[in-house]
Parts: sequence; structure tokens; C-alpha cells
Amino acid sequence: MNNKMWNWFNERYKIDSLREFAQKKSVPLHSATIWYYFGGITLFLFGVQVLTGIFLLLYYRPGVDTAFESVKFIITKVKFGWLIRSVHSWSANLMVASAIIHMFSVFFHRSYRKPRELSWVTGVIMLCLLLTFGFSGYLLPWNELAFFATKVGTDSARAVPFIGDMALRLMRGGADVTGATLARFFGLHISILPIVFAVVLGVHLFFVQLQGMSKPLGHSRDDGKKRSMPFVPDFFLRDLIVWMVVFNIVLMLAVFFPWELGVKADPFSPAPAGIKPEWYFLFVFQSLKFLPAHIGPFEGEMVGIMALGLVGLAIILLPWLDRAASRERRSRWLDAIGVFVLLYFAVFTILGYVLD
Amino acid sequence: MPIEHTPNYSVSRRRFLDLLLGGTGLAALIGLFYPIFRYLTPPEQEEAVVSSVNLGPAKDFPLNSGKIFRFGNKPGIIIRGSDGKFRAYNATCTHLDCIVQYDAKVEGVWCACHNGRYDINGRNISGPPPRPLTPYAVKIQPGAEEILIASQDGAQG
Amino acid sequence: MFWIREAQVNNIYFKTTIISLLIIVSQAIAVDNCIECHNQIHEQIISDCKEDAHSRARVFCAGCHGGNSALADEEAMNPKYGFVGAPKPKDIPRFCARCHSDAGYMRNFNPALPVDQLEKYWTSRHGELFKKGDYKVAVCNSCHKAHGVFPSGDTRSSAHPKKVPSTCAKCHSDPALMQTYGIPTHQYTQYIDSSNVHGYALFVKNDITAPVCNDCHGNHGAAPPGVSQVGQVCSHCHMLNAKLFRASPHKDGFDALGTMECAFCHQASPDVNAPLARIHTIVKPMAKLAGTVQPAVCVQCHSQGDAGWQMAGKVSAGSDSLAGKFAAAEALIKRAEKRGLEVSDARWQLNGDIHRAMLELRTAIHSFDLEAWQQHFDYADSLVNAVNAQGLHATQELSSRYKYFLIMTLIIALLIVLLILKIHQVENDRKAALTNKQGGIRR
Ligand code: HEM
Ligand code: FES
Repeated sequence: MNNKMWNWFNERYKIDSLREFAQKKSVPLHSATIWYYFGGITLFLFGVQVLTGIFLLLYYRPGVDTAFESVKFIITKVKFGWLIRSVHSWSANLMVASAIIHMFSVFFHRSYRKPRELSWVTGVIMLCLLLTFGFSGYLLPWNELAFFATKVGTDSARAVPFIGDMALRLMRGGADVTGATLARFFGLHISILPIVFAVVLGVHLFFVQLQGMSKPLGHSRDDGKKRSMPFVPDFFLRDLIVWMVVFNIVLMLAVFFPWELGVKADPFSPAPAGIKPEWYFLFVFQSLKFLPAHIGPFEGEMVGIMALGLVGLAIILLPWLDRAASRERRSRWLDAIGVFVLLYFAVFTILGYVLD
Repeated sequence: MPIEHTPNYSVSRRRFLDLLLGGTGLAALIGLFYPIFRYLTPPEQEEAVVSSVNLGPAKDFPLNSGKIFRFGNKPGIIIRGSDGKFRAYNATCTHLDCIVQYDAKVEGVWCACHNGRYDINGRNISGPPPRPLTPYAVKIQPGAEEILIASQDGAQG
Repeated sequence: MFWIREAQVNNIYFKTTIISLLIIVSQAIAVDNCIECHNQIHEQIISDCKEDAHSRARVFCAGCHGGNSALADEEAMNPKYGFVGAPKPKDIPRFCARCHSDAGYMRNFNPALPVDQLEKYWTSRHGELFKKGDYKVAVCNSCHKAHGVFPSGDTRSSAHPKKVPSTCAKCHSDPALMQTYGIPTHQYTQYIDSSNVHGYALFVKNDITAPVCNDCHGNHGAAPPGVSQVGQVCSHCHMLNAKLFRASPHKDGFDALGTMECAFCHQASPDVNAPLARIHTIVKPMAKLAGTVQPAVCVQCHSQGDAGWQMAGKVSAGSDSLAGKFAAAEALIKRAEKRGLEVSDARWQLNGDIHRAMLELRTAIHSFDLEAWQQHFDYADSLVNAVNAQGLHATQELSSRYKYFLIMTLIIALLIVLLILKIHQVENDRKAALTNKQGGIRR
């Protein structure tokens, strides 16, 4: 019976070729194979986000009078609402983390080198989308912490030269963080971002399937014989195991550390002490704090934002900037820069938590 | 299944493993969908309570009168002065948390617990209360002339 | 000093003019010559006066003591300039009243200030004795000081609420002095006893509206309130309790016994044989106050079998059970909060509605009407029960969360083990297939 169905479909849609295609894909085996899991983890967590996000939508109601109340309603009155919400929040954070790890592994393996430049570019775009996901979702419960973090976060847009004020108004839907901002962030979070993200993700995955997995620079030479593992089923089964572990971790976090709701945002109250953005923005926040008010003729914050923009541009263009890699050589310089960036991120994030 | 030589895995063993795998996978799916199903069933209280409350038509409030209303978990007091203006406060006395009331004779707010007094603007004017009453925003819906009370910080008021 | 009294009697405007002139003169001359000479011998006095109420009203040394501060030698203290020096205790009330009882004059400074202090003083116990020639009693400066006089709202004033108890105690805690009047001296120690609610509110909670000596005894007209006045004094703040009490059967009974309304039950260790013994320590009303065993106060008069006894038993049992339930509910909610459950509704109930309901319940006791009390009790009880149910629900919720997690973890662990076996099998199969030289990969 199973076979019958298979044949029915196969006759019409040639799934056999798909299957063959899938079976051709193999995963190189080497000492760093473990890093290949993080792309899959990110994908899995995205699935979790989409699923839980859609469920949250059933009860969540945007609006300054309803947002906080409805989230409170979800976690108190709706059966397992606490679980859905906590999983959505925790998994969002793990997703950003695993995406960042994924990216660093791709970086150190130089997997972005020819012919995979566009995989890298789509990856960077997705990371940006992901951060936007996090930033917009954070405001949705309309609690005090999120409200003020959003205020501070959007305020830094002001520092962008020329278009700063306009960008700020565009983001906030007005001069200040209000219900209009909430409406905007909501639309972004549940409609625009998911669609765009899904498309880019599709392209990303398509590229990966088309080109197969790259062998990391350095590993390909010193290992004489070609060692690899079929993606289906060997690697996929391992992927499944990792997903199970990740899922269990998410469940544990949700059960033992339910995501807090806090108190409702009060736009008229003074900002409470200890306003912090989410951890993945903390290093930016902390760096801006360290900048002097003025650097030469420019405002410190503006220089910081511009520098950040340049770094972002460099990251996107990395496959073209790194000429050594396209000639299958490893640039020590770039390794050093990568380590520096990693350390910078770590140190400033920690500083963000430790200082005040 | 075309393979004859399977040194470690007999056919029955393999089938058993597949069966177990399928069963456990099914259990995991059930474990996953159970909360989702529960989540989808509408809760007893069908909607979230909101941080504003509609007190009905303004004409129902006589001049120089006050009324206690429930605002989330807190008592509120709405006052219509002899000037016709509406004012609303958190009705919790700032001294020791009694509920205040409107005293039409002196056109002010009075707390029976220790004889504390506030003026019509919620300012503490005599007796023990150390702070003014917390005000709520009063809006009158233009067309309907209905009074809407909204606190400035939601249900915590 | 009598010249001025005569002036006051003869022509009220005369003095006003003189003093106004004096003020103008003293303002006109930058240096006050009194200080120039006295700064050594009266250093303390001068510094005390520096910012006090009189100085701020530009009433300097000569404003009270007379003399001409414009002159820079002893001539300044010539009686012809109205110099009076330091007044004797027997002169003080009238001395201060020269200005303070003069409405027209006081209006220059603060039109809202009362000017009847002296009149009230004559009605006080202090004033009565004073009139009889006893000058050991308190006069104005005994409480307000002579130099460094501040408005009573100023914390530097010896008449500030937080200072009043110790100010009165200067004399009233002095056994030698009080012996002559046959007055006990334990009031102050009773008042500052930490179990005295009012003292506690004043000193510990910094509630300066809490009553101090003068709020019950009067200030300028200080006198011990009569037996029938005590309730009146308490009802000034505790009006609802007083209202219920006055309508209750206890009112007449207490009057007949000569035990002072509120104070009898609410003092520390009430004793019907010594109804006033601890009257200055009013203790926080606890559940044990009403009941059928010591230290409950009811047993002082009621005995087993009578209606009062029965109500006391019910009230005490009810309060005990309510307090127990409340504590249990609060513990449950606290635990839920700690584990990250959202129970803010229950928390609001505990701190809001229930707090109030318990307060009303305590007030309702004063009706000494079992039925009325029962109604309030049932209401409070139902609220506590509701929160308790929420707490229990939260506990169940927690354990069901843990259970869910446990089950899921077990399933996932099993799944992982099986997947590992599966991988093993797949790889094994492939190896076997290779050795069989059949090529290809098993599906
Ligand atoms: C189709 C996809 C998604 C939908 C429909 C969706 C929907 C929602 C909704 C309705 C909320 C508000 C409820 C709440 O705050 O608990 C929310 C919050 C949030 N979302 Fe999403 N979401 C999606 C994907 C994502 C992704 C990919 C991320 C990843 C970075 C993310 C991160 C967040 C965060 C951080 C919050 C705030 C959580 C909180 O504090 O409650 N979401 N989302
Ligand atoms: S509680 Fe209102 S006056 Fe004390």
C-alpha cells in the first residue's frame, strides 16, 4: 500500500529524482564536522518559532491596552499558554545564538569561498532578519523592560547621518515609542519578516543543496583520502538526535525558567534602572556607551553607528574581500580578525552584564 | 529487502527497531500535540481583561457625587464635581490602604479609617494620608458620551 | 513690662506702631548692637536664635527683651527704652502673649496663626495652677523653648510631633516633681514602648500624623481627658470603630464600670481592677484580644455561658482560622512567584481586597453583634479561600509542568537511544552490503 502511494506520486511528480538528488548529498567528515550541526539547529528552531508564533497569534492582541493583558492572559488562563510563550521566547534566543555560531563556523572554515559566495550573503541577510525578529518581538508584550529597551534601541538610529531622524520616525511610527510603534513591530514580526525570511531561507537551502557541503579550508589538504558520510540517512539521523537534545533543552528552560512578563509599560514613568537590550544587542549598546561624546568633529555615537555599518558591509562582502580563500589559501590575518571579533563580542557582552 | 548478510542485524531485529522507533516517534508527537490541543481549546475566561473600563453614559452620574468601581484588581473612585467635571482616582487611601469615599457635604474625598481627607483633586489636605491619591485618566467617548477610565500604568493602577 | 500691658489696654494701636517702628528701625540698621556686645556671654543663645521663627520674622533680641539695639553701649538697656531683661517664669505667659494674643499684630506675619493660646492656657491644668501661684508648672517656653523657637512642623522644634513626648516627659517623668501633684510618671515609658501602636507609627514608621501627647490631652489647653472623653478623642481618627462601639451594648456597660471606652480593651494587659494602668501603651489589636482565655480581654467581665463569652469564643476561633488560612495562602503564592508562575492577581488580592476585608472584620468586632461580625467574616473567609484555591492550583500547575517535562524527557531520551541504534544499524548494513559486493547503498 505504501508502495502504491509512492508509485502514484512518483508517476506524476518524479520524486525518485528528488530522492536520488538527496542521496547524492554527503557530509565531509573531519575533526570539525560537529559545526555542521548548527545550521540544522537554526533551521529546527525556526520551525519551532513559526509553530509557536502562530499559536501565540491566536490569543495575542496588539495594542497598548491589550498587548500586555493578552500575554498575561496567555500565560495564566490559556492551558499550556505558558509553555508556548516560554518556548517561543527561549527558542528565539537559542536561535540567534545558534545562527551566530553557525556563521562563525562558516567563517573559520572559509566555507563562503567560491563558489558559495551567495550562500554567505543570504546567511548574513538572514542573521539581520533574525535580529529584527528578536527586536520587534521583544516589544510585543508591552512590558516595562521591553518598552524602555525599544526606546533606547530605536533612539540610536538618530545617530545615523542625514537619514537618522527619518529612520527613527519610520521605525517608531512617530516621534516616540507608542501604540503606533507596537502596531508596526507587530506587522513586521508576524507578517513581513516571516515571509521574507522564508524566501531567503529557501534560497539559502537551495544553494546548499545544489552545491553540497564544502570542505573546510585546511582540512581538505592534510587528509589524503576522501572521507564523507551520506546526508540521508546517516547525517540526517544525527541531525534528528541533535534536534531532540535541543528541543529538550528548550523545554527544560521553559519549564524551570518560565519567561518573565514583568509589569506593564507605563510611558509616563521614568525609566527604571538597569534597562538592557537583549543579549545579542548588548555589545553594541556597551560599545556606544564607551565612546566619547565627540570624536574629532563628529558625534561619538554617530561614529560608532557608522563603524558598525562598515563592519556590516565588510561582513556581507567578505567572500570578495578574502582573496586568499578563493585561491584555497588561509589568511592568517583574517583568522586573527575573526578571533578578535569573537573576543570583542564576548567581552563587551559580559561587560554589558557586569557593569552597573 | 535484498540483503542476505547482515552479521549484526537480523531482519526481525531491524523490524523491531523500526517499530520501536516509530512508536516512540508517535509518542513524542502525541506529547507535542497534547499541549497544542489543550492550548487551542478556549479557556473558561474567553478574553483578556483590559486596563480600561467603561462606566457607561456620563449622564448617569449626578453632579457632586462619587462612585466606587472595580478596576482590574483595584478599587477606583469616580467623582463628578459640582462643576460637572469628572475625576477618577485609585480609591486606595495612601495612608493604610482603606477605600476612600466621596463626601458630598464638603465636596472632597474622605477616608473613614482615620478620618483622612483629600480635596476633589485628590490632594491630601488633612488627617494622616501622606500622599495624594493616584489619578486615573478619564476619557469621554465623543459620540456615545460614555465614560472610559484608563489608568496610566494599566491594571496595576 | 507692665507699661506695655497698659499700652495694650489703653491703645491697641500704640503698641503696633511701636513694634512696627522697632522692626523698621532694626531693619534699617545693619548691625544689631545687642549681638555686638553679647556675642561672647550669650553665644549659645545667639546661635539658637539664628534661624528660628522670631528671627525669620525679624523679631530680634530687642523684639522681646526691649531696649534700643541701635545704641552701642549700656544705655541701650535703659528701661526707658522698654528694656525688660529676662522675664521670670511667673511673667512668661503674659510676656509672650503681648504679641501672640494680638491678632492685629500677628496678622503682620501669619494671618492664619491662632492667637488664643493664652486663653486656652488659662483653661489648662497648667494654667489653673499657675493662676493659683504655682510657677513650677509649664509655661510657654517649657515646651517651645525661649531661644530657638520653631513652628511645630519643623523638626528642630521641641513641639514637633516626634519631640513632643520627650518634651512633656521633661517634667512628667520626673518623680520628685510629679509627687507633689500626685501624678504618675509612667506615661512616657508606656508611650515609647515598642508595642504601643502610636509610638511605633511615629518613631519607627515615621508617620507624624500618629497621635502624641497633645493630640489626646490638648496642647495649650492641656488637661487629662475625662472618662467620657477618651472615646471621643480616639474617634477623632478611628471614627467607624467608635460609631459601632457607641451603638453597642458595651457603651453603657463600660460607662457604668468607669473604664474608659476604647482605651480599656486596647491598652496593654487590661485589668478591670486597674482600668488605667497601661493606658499609654495602646497595643496593636491582635486576634488574641478577643477570646475566652487570658490574655483575651473579654474574660475580664464575661464568664462561661453568657452571650458575650460565646461571641468571644466564635470571634477568636474565626480569627485564628482565618489567620492560619491567610498565612497558608500567602506561602503558596510566594512559592508560585518564586518558581516563575504568573500569580499577580492572587498577589493583588492578598495585598488589596483581603487586607481590606480583614481590616473591616476587625472593625466589625466593635459592634459586639455576632451576626454583623459573621457577615464580615464570611466575606473575608471567602476571599481567602479563593486565593488559597489559586495557590493550590498554582502548585498543581507546577507539578503538572514538571510531570510533562519528565515524560517528554523520557520519550526524547528513548528516541535518541533508538536513533543511535538505527544509525548503527544503517552503517552496519552498508558495510555488509559492501562486503557482499552488491554495491549501492541500502535504502
Ligand atoms: C512566523 C513566525 C513568527 C510568528 C508568527 C511570531 C509571533 C509572535 C507573537 C504573536 C509574539 C507575541 C507574543 C509574546 O510576546 O509572547 C512574538 C513574540 C516574540 N517573538 Fe515571535 N514570531 C515568529 C517568529 C519569530 C522568530 C523567528 C523569532 C526569532 C528571533 C521570534 C522572536 C520573538 C521574541 C523574542 C518575542 C518576544 C517574546 C516575549 O517576550 O514574550 N519570533 N512572536
Ligand atoms: S487609611 Fe485612610 S486615613 Fe488611615
